[in-house]
Amino acid sequence: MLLFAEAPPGLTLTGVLGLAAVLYGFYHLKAGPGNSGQARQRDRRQQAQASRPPGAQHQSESLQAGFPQGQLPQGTSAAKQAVGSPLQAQLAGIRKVTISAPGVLLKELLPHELQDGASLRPAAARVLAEMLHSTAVYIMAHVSDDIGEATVRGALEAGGLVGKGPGQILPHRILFCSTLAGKEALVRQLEPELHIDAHEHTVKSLQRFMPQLLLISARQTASASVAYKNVAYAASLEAAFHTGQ
Amino acid sequence: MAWREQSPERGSQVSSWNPGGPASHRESTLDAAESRPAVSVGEREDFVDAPKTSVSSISGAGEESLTSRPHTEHTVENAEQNPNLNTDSTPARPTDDQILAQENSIREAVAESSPFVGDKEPLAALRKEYEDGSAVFLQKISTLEEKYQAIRRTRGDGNCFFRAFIFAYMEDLVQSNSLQERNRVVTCMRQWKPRLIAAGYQELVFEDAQEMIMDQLNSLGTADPVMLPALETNMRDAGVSQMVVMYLRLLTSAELGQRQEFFSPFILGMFDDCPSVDHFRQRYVEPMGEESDHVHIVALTDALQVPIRIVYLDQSLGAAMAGVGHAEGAAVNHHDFVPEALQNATGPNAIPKVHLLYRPGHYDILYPSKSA
Amino acid sequence: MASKSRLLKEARECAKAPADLGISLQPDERNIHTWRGHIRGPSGTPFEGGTFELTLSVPQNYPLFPPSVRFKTKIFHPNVHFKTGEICLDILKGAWTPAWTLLAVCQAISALMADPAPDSPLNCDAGNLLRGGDLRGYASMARCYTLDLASAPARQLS
Repeated sequence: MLLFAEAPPGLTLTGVLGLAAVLYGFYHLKAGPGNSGQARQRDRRQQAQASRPPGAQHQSESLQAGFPQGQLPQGTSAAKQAVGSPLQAQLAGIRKVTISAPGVLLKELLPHELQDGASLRPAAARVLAEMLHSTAVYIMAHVSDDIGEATVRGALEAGGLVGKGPGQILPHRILFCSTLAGKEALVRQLEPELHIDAHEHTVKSLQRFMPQLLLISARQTASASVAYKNVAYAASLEAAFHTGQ
Repeated sequence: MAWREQSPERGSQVSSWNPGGPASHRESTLDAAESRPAVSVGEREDFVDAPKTSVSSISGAGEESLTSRPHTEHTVENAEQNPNLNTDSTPARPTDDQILAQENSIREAVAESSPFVGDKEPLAALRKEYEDGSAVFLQKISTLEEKYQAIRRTRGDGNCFFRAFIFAYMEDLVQSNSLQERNRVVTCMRQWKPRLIAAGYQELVFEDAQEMIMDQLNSLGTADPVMLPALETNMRDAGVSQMVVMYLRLLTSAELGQRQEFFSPFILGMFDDCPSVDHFRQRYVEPMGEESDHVHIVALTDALQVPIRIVYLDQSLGAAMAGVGHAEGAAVNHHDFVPEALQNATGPNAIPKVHLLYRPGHYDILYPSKSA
Repeated sequence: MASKSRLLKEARECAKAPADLGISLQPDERNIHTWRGHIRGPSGTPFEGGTFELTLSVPQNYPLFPPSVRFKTKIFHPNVHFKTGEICLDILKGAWTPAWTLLAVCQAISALMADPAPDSPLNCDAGNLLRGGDLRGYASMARCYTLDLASAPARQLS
């Protein structure tokens, strides 16, 4: 699990999700079918510990792999799962994720930037594809007009992310809005366990109402004003989620 | 048709929901709460201008507000059930369905204490009501006693004008066995059927009710005519009585709809919240329990071509119109609602046989003295 | 029972309702005071293509009192509570008159779907989107739910 060089204030995403995993895993551990799954988890944890920078040691210990073999989070398709993948563990207990695409999946952040085109971040796209295997995902984007909507869709489609297949999102689950407040309304309606956004403002507004949020920000440390217990920070989606690739 | 200057007060209203067709509503509701029983999930603080609901006479025309906190950020004051609090503290509020059910059951409880249509009583019964009342009132009652001998009370459920009217009318027909008038009104009602359909009412909505009245009317002059006791029984039966009132409301509404130009100045002038005749019909005429005003009386008497006299017993001093009485203070005003077609007619048709007593918010039936 | 004979008449009328009305409505076989309706999402709205099921409970003193109606199929609309399906419609409350029929009520609900009133909503998020002028967001969310929840092949208008 890659973490920041300096631990930011508050829990990191790993810590937050790890907590969820602890609870989830603890609940299921008792009913675990056997030891082999646990052994594999233990090995992986040790491996992660080795690659982790100093200072964040304590974080990993709070992460306890929670998936005895065969037990997956709700809503996952068992067939295509890499059982025991790190991302899957991170998403333990998370049934629904909402992602604000600009700045997270896309390089562009603001609506006007999307007018000329939208570029998908390949690493983020890979994370998304894997997420789609195990969790219900809704993507949303604040755009100015139909052109903005088209560029966002186009970028996602070009990345092979739109469709009915595994690792793809159904087109109608890509949502658009024309106001930032509207985006908040969408998230609140959907009630995800986790919302991922690149806008500090949105994260601040939603913080009170969501179990967990992830702010994707180039700044390594979040400003003091955004330090909340249920908000984690990462420089990128791929930094926050280790896909094991 | 002269309009009285003094208009009857609208009594306590039943629930006045914001009107305006299917898209209009004022509602608020609470979810089953999550952590706190007093909190409603799903409502947003964005709605600081909280939803307005004017619930009926139970809580008065209050404004109910609703906000909630889906998470533990804010504490919620649990205790007082003050529906008029327009802040972010909202105790668990019953759903609108529950409120309506409560209203209905209270209304029914009150109503069940008195029958839809009471017994005919000597006018002294009215005097007794005001024993401790003002001298003006007692004087008025004395004046009334000169012209009227009996009173029959109706239930004060907002439908009393319609109920009093139809009972008094049919009672007179039954007692006098006026087959000519019976034939006229039956024809009138038959002719109303296509007019009601043209007005947009489905036949299934009114045909049963119409039949209930027609059956009784048609029985007159036969071997087995309806007699007063049966009339009383029928009109005291909720099934029959309410359907008849509903039918009369539809007639009234359809009449307004078909003569919009005539009625619209009165409606728009008297009711601030009515932008149109149609709106008035849907809001103040068709729903059961909506009290009747001048407009209703004119429309119904025109619809059935039946003249009536309304006698006003209220606190007003002075006789604005020709009335019965001596000193000004004791004058009891009345107003005759006579359909235009009958106004210049001579003969018995133009003379009201239905006399109703109006006190603010309520109509009862009066019986003229023989000598009057 | 006045309500029963009236309801029987309404059932006959509903059976004759034209298909292009987009509404099908019938009583429960065993209980004429419980009805089930299906409304086709009005065209030109984000609900287009969806079929929405309603349950209607008719009181004993119908038509003097209104039926109690709620959406069984989830729908994103300011005047419908997302979780309970409760509908905010004046004719179902104080503006009810006995001149309404169950079919007319369904028509009014269909009209409400096409013409939401965002003030004082039962779904605040939907209400906020519309009040904020974010039609794109409202339509996007509504369409998403229509496709996810109201478009199962099993739910067809008979």
